[in-house]
Amino acid sequence: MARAVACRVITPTGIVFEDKVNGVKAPGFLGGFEVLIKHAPYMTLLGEGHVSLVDDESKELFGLDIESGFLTVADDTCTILVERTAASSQN
Amino acid sequence: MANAKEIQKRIKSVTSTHKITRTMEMVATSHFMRAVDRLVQARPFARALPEMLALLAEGEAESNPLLASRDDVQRVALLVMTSDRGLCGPLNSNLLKVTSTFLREQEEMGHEVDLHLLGKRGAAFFRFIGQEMVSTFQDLSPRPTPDEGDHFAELLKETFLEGMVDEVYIAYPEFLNAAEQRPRIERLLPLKIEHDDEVESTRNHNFILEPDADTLLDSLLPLFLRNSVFRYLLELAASEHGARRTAMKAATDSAKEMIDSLTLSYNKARQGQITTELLEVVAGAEALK
Repeated sequence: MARAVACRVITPTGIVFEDKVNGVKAPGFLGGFEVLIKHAPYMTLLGEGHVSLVDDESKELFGLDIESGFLTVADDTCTILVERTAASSQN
Repeated sequence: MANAKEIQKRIKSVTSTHKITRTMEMVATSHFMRAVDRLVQARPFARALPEMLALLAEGEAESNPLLASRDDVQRVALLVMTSDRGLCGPLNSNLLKVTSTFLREQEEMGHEVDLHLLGKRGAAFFRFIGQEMVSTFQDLSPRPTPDEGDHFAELLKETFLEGMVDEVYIAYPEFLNAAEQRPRIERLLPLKIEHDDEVESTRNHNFILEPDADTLLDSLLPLFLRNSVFRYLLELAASEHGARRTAMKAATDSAKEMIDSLTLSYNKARQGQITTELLEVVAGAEALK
């Protein structure tokens, strides 16, 4: 299945990821959540934890340990602002 | 006209200056490219923040202390961002000229100004004219980090929230291109959120906010402030290296022109000397006949 959520992960020093993905798993303010295709417009505060961008087989395309951030999603476009990262990894 | 030996000495001296300015130009170019790269890299975050805030700030503007403007302004704070090092053309002097005008205008309006100085150049100027400064910061990193921005943002936020000042301004050289930097003074606090019209269409979506608009604003606004200060630091770094590169290029070109003109004078002097010597030899030979 074609990847359909256009996702951007941005830090104060630059864009660390920009591509289409199938899902976004993130540590929300009230607990972990996942953004899939056709998600309702949503904006949330992110807590400390791991942000994971996955493909249709739930394989991680990009992962980032964050301390805090914000996530918005609307019209299958997801923007994640990360102020502080703990460490980053890319598969 | 100076004699050939004197001109030769001057050529040697100008050639050595030419070498120094050329090296400095190359160093400044390398620093400049990296500084501009950092500025460009930081833009997406700086653009995304006001877009997010625009989704929330409508209607909440006056309730948050960082957005609420005060009616009776009596005291303002001004953070002036100058460079630590010189040899960067009129960068600092232009900014200090604009700052002096701003200080005069504030005085005319009856506002007192708390002056905070960043960079040795600005501090030296205000010390020289006997202007009192609340704080000075020196030895800035040539590669500004978000943490450095946090430090200044927290300081200014505290003074604003504690009511010590009613407005906070920032004077910095805006980076336009390598040859052009514009001195600017912007109001930092209370915050102004500016965004593109595209956001208007996004705003019409009924966003689910988690946990709620107030909590999101309370976290986003300080981040916006910190990032603004970080962006100003990046603008300062890019402007400084750009101005230094331009100044050093102008100095190198002038030195080159001077070397050419001195070489011409040297050749003329040497030719004159040879002609005189020849005439003397011919005159001597004639006398012996």
